[in-house]
Amino acid sequence: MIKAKTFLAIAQRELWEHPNLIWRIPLGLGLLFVFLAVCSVVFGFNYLGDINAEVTVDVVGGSDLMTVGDGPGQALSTFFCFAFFLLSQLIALNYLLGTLYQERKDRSILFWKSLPVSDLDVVLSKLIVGVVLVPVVYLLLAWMTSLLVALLLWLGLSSVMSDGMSFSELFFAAVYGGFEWFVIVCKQMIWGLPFFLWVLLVSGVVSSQPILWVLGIPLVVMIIENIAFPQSVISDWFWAHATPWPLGGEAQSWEPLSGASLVESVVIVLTSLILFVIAVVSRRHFNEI
Amino acid sequence: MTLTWNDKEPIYVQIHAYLAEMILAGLIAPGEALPSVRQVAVEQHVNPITVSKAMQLLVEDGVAVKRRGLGMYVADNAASILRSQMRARFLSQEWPGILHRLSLLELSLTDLMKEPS
Amino acid sequence: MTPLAKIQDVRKRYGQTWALDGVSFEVPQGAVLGLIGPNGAGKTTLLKAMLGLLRFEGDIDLLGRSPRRFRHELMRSVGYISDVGILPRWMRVDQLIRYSAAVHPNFSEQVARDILSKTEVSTKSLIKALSKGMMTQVHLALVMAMDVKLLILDEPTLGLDIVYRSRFYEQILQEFLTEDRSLVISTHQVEEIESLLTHLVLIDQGKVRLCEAMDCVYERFTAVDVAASELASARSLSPVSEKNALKGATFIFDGVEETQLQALGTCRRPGVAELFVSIMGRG
Repeated sequence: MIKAKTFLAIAQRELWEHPNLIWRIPLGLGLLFVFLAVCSVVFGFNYLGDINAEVTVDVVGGSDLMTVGDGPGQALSTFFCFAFFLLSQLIALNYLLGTLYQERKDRSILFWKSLPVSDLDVVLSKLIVGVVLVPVVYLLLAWMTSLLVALLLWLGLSSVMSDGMSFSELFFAAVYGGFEWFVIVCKQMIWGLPFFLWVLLVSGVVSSQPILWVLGIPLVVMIIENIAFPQSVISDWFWAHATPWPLGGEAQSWEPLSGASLVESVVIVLTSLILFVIAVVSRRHFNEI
Repeated sequence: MTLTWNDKEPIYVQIHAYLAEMILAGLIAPGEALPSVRQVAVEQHVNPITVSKAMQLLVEDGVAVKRRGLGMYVADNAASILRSQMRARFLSQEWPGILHRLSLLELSLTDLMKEPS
Repeated sequence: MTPLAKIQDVRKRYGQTWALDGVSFEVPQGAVLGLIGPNGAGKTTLLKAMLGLLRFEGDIDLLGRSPRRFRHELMRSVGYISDVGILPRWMRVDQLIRYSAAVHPNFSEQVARDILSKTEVSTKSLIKALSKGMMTQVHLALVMAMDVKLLILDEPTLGLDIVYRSRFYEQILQEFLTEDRSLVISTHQVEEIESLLTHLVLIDQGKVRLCEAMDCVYERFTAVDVAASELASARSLSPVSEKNALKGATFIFDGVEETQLQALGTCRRPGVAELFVSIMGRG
């Protein structure tokens, strides 16, 4: 199994290679929002938009997860965590799409392979960076941003409103929202695993334009399935897992800890395992570009 | 100084000759250490094994002695051994050729001695 | 002593061409083995096969193991420098050192920094900002710091100017060559490494044309500059090659006693480049 030391070394290397993707962007965004909040407080304008006591966010699929009735604290954390979450998914996918492709393209794979690091270690570490590290970093920064913004707004609002909301209300709602999102992010790690592995696999196999293959093959399969079969089981399953969990209608019925979802969970795990093994074997027998 | 190798003799023989000349010229005195194998290898851009072979020749002839843990040192009578070796070589290999040339050029030894050196 | 590497009947095909067609040789301990051949002879393919980076037919044994199956363990004791700059361009030198130290059990940061301190490369430099010569210096420093038993070099001085080339070999001579380490170096520029070699493998079109210890090469092969009058007698001794020269021809003989050849003309030791041309010409 992979040693912690090796994983940390590879993770650190990924951080060195993609500092913007992994932490500078979310940090920058967070600071931007905090700055806007400061401006709101200082200048009395609503730089952050309309913050009402009741905030409803309707998203595609009509999920009412997003309806937040309990006040600005939760609205804030929902807004930030959701926005950062979506961004983190895009960025993680972008990272995974390029990571095994780029090292073959610039031939640095010849150097990496001259070091005593197994292909399993490399593929697993990159997977963990994309599936776990990036979303968690973004979530943490989103959370801290929402707390800071909540604090600033409370300061601002309580200075002009005599019957302003209590600090603890604002604060704890924001904290609670963060925890809720932590659970959501964890669910997505598992739900999205097959798709993320698919992307990583394509990154390691193709000789050019990984994005075309990543989307192209599933599209072709979808077309074939729709023509040839009454039900497009594979495609439906694929696109369901390509959609982040919070956004998916059917996904909502998957509760990882419940028995009812056992079949689904097993399918996820098995598919992921198979895709992972193929990805590792592909790197072992890599083809040079 | 990096030597240019001739293609008549094995390189180790040429390195041996180079070291012998240094000893004869007094550049390395009796009792002094020879340069290390690695030093000569780097300087002359040759494999250390080749240098070792050359130094081994010196030891076999008694020109150098190996002191355990310390390296190779020039023997006290190194110069005289080398001189007699080179004398023998000169007389058997080089001298006949020179004599031949002298006769071609119709130079006598007395003519040669009169030449400014 | 067991050889550090054994290559047995290795074949590799790309489409219809055999890049390697039955290559066999051994790398003894303490050897400096030159893999000499023209471009396209199969040198890079062979070295990549030795590193487990390619599929091939035949057997390769590196330090007792198959490089295809045990690449990542073998890389603790095997070092590799390629002809092209393969160090990751986005990395800084000190990041490379820290990463290597973290993943390589024998890596010594001190050795790497010491070697680099004698160059003009700063540890803060980005790899992409370095010239090829400096990049090779960095790569060599890293490999030296890994304390490997077998070093595989694929045209390491390609594209380097003379100063970097000579520093490269100095570093190898100074730091690397010991009794228990071996070096396999492929090149088509024979002259600069000839005096360093202990073993020679001449390869052309995927086939080994000569595989010999250098001492044996010098014993076996004699070059003779023969005057026009002796050409017939020279030819009667079955030379390996004949090459026209100013007043006759230069012949190269394999395994013929020098006493027999002295009558024909001046005998000398053929340079590896000369040998290479003469053996390849045999076809």
